[in-house]
Amino acid sequence: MKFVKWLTSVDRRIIFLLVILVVLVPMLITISIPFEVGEPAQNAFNAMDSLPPGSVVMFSVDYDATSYPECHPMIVAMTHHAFKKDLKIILVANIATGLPLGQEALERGAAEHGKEYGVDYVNLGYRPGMVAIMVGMGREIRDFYAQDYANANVDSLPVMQNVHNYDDIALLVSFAHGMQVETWIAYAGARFGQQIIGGVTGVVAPDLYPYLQSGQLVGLLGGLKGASEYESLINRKGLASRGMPAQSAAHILIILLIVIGSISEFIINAHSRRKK
Amino acid sequence: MNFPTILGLWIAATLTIAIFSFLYKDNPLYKFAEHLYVGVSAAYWVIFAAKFTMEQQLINEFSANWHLYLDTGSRAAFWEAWILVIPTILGFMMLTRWFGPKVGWISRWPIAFTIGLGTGLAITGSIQGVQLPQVQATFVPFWGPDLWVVVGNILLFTGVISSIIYFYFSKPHKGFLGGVSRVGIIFIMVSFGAAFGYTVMSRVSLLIGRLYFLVYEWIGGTIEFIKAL
Amino acid sequence: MKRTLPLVITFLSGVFIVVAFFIPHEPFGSLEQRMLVWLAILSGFTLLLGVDSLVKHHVRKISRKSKDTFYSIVTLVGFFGTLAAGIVTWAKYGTPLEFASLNEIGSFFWVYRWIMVPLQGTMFALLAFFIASAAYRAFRARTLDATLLLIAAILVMVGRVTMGVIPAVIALATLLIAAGIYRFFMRKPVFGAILVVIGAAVAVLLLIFPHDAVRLAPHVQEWIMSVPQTAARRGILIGVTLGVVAMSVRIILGIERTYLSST
Repeated sequence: MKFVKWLTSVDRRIIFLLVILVVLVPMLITISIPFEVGEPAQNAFNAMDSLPPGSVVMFSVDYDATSYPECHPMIVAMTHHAFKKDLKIILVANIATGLPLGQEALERGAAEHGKEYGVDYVNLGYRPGMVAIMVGMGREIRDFYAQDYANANVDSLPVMQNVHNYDDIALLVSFAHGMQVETWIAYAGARFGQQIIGGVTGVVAPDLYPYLQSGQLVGLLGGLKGASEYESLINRKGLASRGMPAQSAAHILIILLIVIGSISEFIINAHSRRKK
Repeated sequence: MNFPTILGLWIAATLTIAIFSFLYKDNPLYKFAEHLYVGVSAAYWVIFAAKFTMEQQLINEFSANWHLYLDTGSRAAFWEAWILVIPTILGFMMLTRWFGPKVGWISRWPIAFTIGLGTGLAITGSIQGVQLPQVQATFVPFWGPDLWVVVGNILLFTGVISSIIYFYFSKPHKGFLGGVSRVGIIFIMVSFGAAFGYTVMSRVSLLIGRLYFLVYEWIGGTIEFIKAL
Repeated sequence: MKRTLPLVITFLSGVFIVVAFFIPHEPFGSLEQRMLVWLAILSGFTLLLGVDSLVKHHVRKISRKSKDTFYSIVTLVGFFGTLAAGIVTWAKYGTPLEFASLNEIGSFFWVYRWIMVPLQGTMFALLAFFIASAAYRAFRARTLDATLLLIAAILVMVGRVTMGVIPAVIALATLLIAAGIYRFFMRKPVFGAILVVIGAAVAVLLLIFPHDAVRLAPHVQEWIMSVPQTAARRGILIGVTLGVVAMSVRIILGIERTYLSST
């Protein structure tokens, strides 16, 4: 009984320490365990993979550093996939503080695949007013993005030559940590028939399953696992795959914490009842 | 690895550790990082608003159309340029809130305009984008190629109907209604549990990201830098 | 002027955008587009709204020499320093966000990469610790609903790991059996027995087919997400959007006017 009471009153800093250890130790050992890819991630991959070379995809940076470990590996992996398939990328952003992250992923990917700015990809920068932009781009992108992030006229960039609205964009991917994918679906998807993929944090992923079932969302990457699934599909291990052992260990720890916490409460309650 | 990067790595690592120090207890180091964060991020908003709204959507848009007018004499371009005066004025009216309630009421006009457009868009977006397709996707056949599909479809339909009834019927949940909403609770509990599981995943990932930075980018990068010297 | 005109503006702009949705033909189509461009521009101005009160607040704190003066100075230095970095980079490259400037100390991109990202990211990483602590202290399988919630949470977490499925399932079985026995104590023998039987069944199946448990875990997770989770989430979603539509109509008609009272 004493032990159980001690268990329930343990200093939370001990739990914090446990969490650090459980994340840190598996991170130091680089083991990679093969796993099955879930259907939503497979569908996302297939949608991108089946596009003919030269197709235009739009990446929307709807996350920032608060969800860097989940969303950033996704945009990195998808950039590599798109460039490998010779697709053209248009980068936009609905989260100001996230734009530089998307830009970095694109610039590094372009350098690796020998892609040229303005010809193979473009960074249109950030615009406030999410819904207004999403609806307005259904008519003409230039009404909102007349210039790229560095004031170059978009008409002077070959990649934008025949791109005017969603009709010219084969696939839209929103890397998001909030409502943005749902908003894309409600406006660009429902009103203009745009094909959409979501690359989102674990917190957001459950919100999007109804849209997967209704077919409004083509594919979905959810959290670090989703990112690592995409990495394994394109055969390029990155931050997400390397984080998965630590992620697994932390899940086990939290499950154990729930079980121990619950059971010790059962024991204490039953004990006090018997005393009465 | 160059010097700006190694300096950046050390600053970033110091700030990371400063924030983590909060886990032991609140302390000056954490407070320093927290206050720095507030200041730095506010400046970001200002720069982004200045660059992407003021410069690109107002100044550059005006000058592009004005030059087009000067070059071609196009009336349309002339108007395209000068009509931007309206959103500019509305924008500055919005900023009257800076000067307190005496003049701040002027900001109500542009706010009313944005609220009006926003609500109008919300109506069509909610109905066309969410309600109609989501309701339609709920009416699935209770028949399929295998048992799992059939069970899944039946559960999906039952779950949607019962959770709607649980949440949105204000009549007391008794009798048949009570039974259905009890089923609704089961679905909702499973859904909350799933959301909790996914939230755990998310939070753990963030920690992995920061620890990964400390171990591989900061310590690893520093070792690499020293070796290169 | 102060109250009626804003209500009229809201009504007209709200009705207009709905009409333009149904009649995208000219002149509504291009007028709608113009309104959307203006809306985007105005959203840009709203980014600036909080900045003045932040600066004023900290300037006031410094001038009063309160005990947190130092931290207010930190905030202001952070603010004006980043602003300066942005302006200098902007002047040099024509844009504050030039990727090439990442290698220049004090450039906007450099400040972003090495100050903003760690601060923002670590602030949110703290939540991992708090959720672990909450899992231990607050998430208890007290009632049947809570038990259901925890089982779903555990199954979902188990389905998203690449290793450690077996110990997690053992923990789950233990929880089920313990919760069942507890119900017995609480004089709810039927539920108790059901939980114990399920828990024992999970344990026995795990012993006989350990490899299948590992293989099945992701599928169980995906099934929970795409069937019961989707169903409940959709119920909530339909209800919430009905509420959004009702609220929007109330705002357009001027019945709901709280948005005017903030100034």
